[in-house]
Amino acid sequence: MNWLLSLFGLPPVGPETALHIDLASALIALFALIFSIWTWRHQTRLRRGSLLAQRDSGLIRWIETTIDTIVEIEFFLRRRTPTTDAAQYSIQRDDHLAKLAAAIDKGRLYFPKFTRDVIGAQNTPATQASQLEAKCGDGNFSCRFWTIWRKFMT
Amino acid sequence: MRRRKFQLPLLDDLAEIYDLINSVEFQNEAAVKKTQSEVMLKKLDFVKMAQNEVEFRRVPGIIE
Repeated sequence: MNWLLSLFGLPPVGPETALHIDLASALIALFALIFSIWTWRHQTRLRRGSLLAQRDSGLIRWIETTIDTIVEIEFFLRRRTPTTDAAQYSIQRDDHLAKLAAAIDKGRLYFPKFTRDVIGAQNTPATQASQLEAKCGDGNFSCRFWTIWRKFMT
Repeated sequence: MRRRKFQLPLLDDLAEIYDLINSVEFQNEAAVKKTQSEVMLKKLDFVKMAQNEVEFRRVPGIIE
């Protein structure tokens, strides 16, 4: 390094000067690392918040549409009079049921499982793992291990 | 506190409303009235749970 300094007419660097330069470099690198970690954490938080906001915007839209459907059904029942035509009533009821069924199916996008679900109860990963475990028998250790692992992961 | 366990009774309420409407006896006025009041209660329950689900958006600092 001294030859480079001598090109510009500067005095040679002693051991103390070199130590100062090393410390300064290390401090700058440390600050850069801290700043980088801080920036990464901040960006991660922003990205997570953005994803949550997008998900909840969709959820709120679904809730609004579903409330509209329920209120329509409520007023449909309220409109019923003794002179109401049964066939017409049935057609209107089916229309409302179709809207409600669509709302339930759209709701599956946000809540894949619910207690009163009648679709897919036999095809959940946990159920499949239990069925596989029953097929393994007592002797097949490898089969049982991977079945238990699969159940654990699900 | 926000619940994120993907198993909320929101859809259960809707499924119960579906069953109520599907099985209501149109000729029976009292049954229709009863179903109407049950649907109203289910709706209120649904709205309350939906409010809980989106309430966190009003808490400052969660989404910045």
